[in-house]
Amino acid sequence: MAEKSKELLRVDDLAIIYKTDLETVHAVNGITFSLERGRTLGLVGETGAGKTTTALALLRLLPERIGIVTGGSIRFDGEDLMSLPPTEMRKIRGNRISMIFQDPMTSLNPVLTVGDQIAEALVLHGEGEKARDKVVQAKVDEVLSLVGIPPTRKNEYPHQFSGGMKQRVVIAIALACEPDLLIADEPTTALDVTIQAQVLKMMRDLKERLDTSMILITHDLGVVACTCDDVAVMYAGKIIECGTREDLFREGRHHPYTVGLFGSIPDIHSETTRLSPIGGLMPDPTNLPPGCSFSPRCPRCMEICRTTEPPETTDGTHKILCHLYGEGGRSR
Amino acid sequence: MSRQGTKLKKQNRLKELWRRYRKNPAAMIGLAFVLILIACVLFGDVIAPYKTATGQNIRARLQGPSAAHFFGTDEFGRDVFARVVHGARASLALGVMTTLVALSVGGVLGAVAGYFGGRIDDIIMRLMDVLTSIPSLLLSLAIVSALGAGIRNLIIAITISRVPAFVRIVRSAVLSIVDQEFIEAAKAGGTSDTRIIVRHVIPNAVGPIIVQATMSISMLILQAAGLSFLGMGVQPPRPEWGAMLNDAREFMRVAPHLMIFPGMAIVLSALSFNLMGDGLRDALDPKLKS
Repeated sequence: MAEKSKELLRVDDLAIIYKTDLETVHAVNGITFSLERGRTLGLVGETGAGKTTTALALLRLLPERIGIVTGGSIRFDGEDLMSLPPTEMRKIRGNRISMIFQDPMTSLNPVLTVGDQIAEALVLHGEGEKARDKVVQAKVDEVLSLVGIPPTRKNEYPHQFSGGMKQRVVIAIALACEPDLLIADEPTTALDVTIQAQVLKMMRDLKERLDTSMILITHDLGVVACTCDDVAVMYAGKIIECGTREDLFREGRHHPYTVGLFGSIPDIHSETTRLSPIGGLMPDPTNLPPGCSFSPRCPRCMEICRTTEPPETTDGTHKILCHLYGEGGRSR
Repeated sequence: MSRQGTKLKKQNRLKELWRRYRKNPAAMIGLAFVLILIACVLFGDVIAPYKTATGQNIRARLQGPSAAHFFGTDEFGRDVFARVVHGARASLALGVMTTLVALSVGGVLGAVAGYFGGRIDDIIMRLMDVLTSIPSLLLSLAIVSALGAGIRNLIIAITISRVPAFVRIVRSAVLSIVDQEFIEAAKAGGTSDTRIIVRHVIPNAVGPIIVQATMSISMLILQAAGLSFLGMGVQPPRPEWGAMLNDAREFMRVAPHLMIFPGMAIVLSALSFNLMGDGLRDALDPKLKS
């Protein structure tokens, strides 16, 4: 470990479009972030902010011919992922970078037993010759018990498991090869709250045991608060605010969108009958407004916001993309 | 669910299929007749010696059904019962073989077209469009005339005319599966395309494909009989139902049994494969699970 640099993943100015005959969707518009070994980055934002697109781009799994990376670079452990040949990329997928998908109901193959599916991941990445090998089967048992499923259940099919158990299986598959980076795309959204807490706790424990870095995609700030070290808030394909968890959750200067996000969480201490959402909708990604893309919904929108892209303001680890705190803007 | 219960459930997957299949009486009749056909193929010589199916006996020609000849005799005094029994071999072989070959060729093409899409899909599907635009009977006739009559060429001809149907079915089954998240998950796990097709796509598409294959057997039995009827298939003296019908045409008035028995054999075998296919589809469809 000492030899390796602390930084595991560095994404620079990544831009992605989805191009069809009819329209061009600007899904991700120049995002920059980095992730250190053993840390968890929370990628927060509402539906359509480009979170999943970013994750797919990291694995180079954007839909062929439609999803196009138009600029920027992704460096993983010193290697440029964008220029790797497909066979090399395949060796990284599942082995060094794994992904957990949103819906555990559909991300398992219904006709293979869960044991076979875990064994497959192991065999693919050279942990044994055949799925029936003793070594592989022993490892399958080990991984299953790691996620809290009795190994005796490995010969069962996905439909015999409940949702939470299925997500555990999915996590077991993702962790089977002990990846350096785990990308979890809303891993708990499809689960009910009690199971959510269990799964999150398990993921946090496993991450610590295996010293894995993690990118957690979510729109649940509660999940962020209890699992992430760093947070990046995405809006319309841009990271509009990022920093450590403390930076984001501490009172102080924040992007108006982040303020809105926190404001829309119901407060247990105050009595209200209505939630307070952020007014309006995400801008049409085929036709982003000039200037700051949040300006049409921003309660503190200024003249400059509608014309000029906001500058980045840095305060230690805390970065905000907003005119409010830039030069010429009001402070606070 | 108790541990014991789940264990039982796993072993019972085939049994479960069988339990649902058994509830369908029509499908059971179909299955019974298919088993009889298979018995005719395997034990044909025990049921009726091949000699009586081909050996001529002019003195006993055109006899009606009797205890000695269950289905009567034809214009050369050959036992029609024996000919029908041994004809099953040609018909079943043709139906099953051509289905298997067409299924494997069509399956590979369809899976590739559906999985990769894009240009490969266009090329394969347009080729299939060309093949389907020619009536299949005409196409097989043309192929057999070009290659010469005989059972091998018949198989080639029927297979070629049947491939497009399988390409379509497999392609559409694959298309409905490649969009599912577990395929993406497999990709994210570093699985190669070939492996995804073999391990993840095909096993999930197998239900509709099996059903279609069963149905196709009956269609191909009919087509093979049709071609033999036109003299393009199995050559005499080998017994074949379609060819027997053709031979019987001249004697239709004096000896209708010559036409009735092979005709019945064709109709019943086609029908029974269809019933079996229907039953399989119902048994495999989880929505009808009760």
